[in-house]
Amino acid sequence: MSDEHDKEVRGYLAVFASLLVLTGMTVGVAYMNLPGSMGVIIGLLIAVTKATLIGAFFMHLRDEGKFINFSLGVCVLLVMVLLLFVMPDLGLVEEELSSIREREAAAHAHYSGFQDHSGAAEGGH
Amino acid sequence: MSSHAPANTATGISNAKLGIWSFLASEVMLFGGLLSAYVILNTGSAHMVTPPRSMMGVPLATFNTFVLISSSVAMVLALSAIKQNHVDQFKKWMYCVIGGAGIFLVIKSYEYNHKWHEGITISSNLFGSFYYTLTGLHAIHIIGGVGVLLYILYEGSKGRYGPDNYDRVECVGLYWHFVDLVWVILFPILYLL
Repeated sequence: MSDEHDKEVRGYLAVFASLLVLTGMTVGVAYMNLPGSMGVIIGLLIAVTKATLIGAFFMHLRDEGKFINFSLGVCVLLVMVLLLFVMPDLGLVEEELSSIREREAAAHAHYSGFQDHSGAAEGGH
Repeated sequence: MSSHAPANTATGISNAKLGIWSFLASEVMLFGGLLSAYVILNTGSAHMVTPPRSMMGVPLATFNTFVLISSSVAMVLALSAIKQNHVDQFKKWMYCVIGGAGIFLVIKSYEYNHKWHEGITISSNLFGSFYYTLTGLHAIHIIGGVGVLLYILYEGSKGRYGPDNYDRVECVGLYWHFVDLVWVILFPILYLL
């Protein structure tokens, strides 16, 4: 029993060390300023790995039956629905925003050209 | 009844455990809804202006992450100790858990004060609203958790838990690990990404 207990404690300490290393990695990746959304993706993957370690080992989810794992799985799936089902809309918003920005830039160029032209005309008089 | 034996219920899971897991499932939806709203607005709203990392106090938040993870490990070691009927060790680890929570809250209040003076307030912009709502909700969970942890420590000191009766310690532990898990997700999303 005591050997089993010692083994269990060693396992917890190994998970603790892994969590600390992963925390260091999260901070390191953020300061590396990776191109595009690479930093965000890696950061989120590390966060999910840490959450999985805490769930599996500290919350003993790997020893729990199907009932609890399934119930939690449904919750996580619903959160993913909240997050991912809005993504296509975000793409539309982004398209709309860029089209507005383009129109604004064109209008700005047009009016600044007009001002330059009238400024030159005034200078001629 | 031993906590290891299947409970005499329809699911084979004790009522206490089923209760705490149902509660945690609702908590997943609570934090999940707020987090997904933050991520979506951060991606698609022109009003979401994230402050520069230098204003966010990343070193302190990293230290707080270390404190909360250590507190979570202490909790699991407290449970392990009470399963072995080592009450003194159980008390020692519980003090570490509660101490960790206290340190976390002190650092958080310092952070709030600092951010408030930097102009990041709950009404300053969309980021401020989300920052204080998410971290505030998390801090409320920590404060509530400390109350229950103190009760468990008191009961444990009286010798009311042992190898055959540790359901309450296990349930509080599950809650505490969940609070840690939420912070592990909040920290990179609010401070780093």
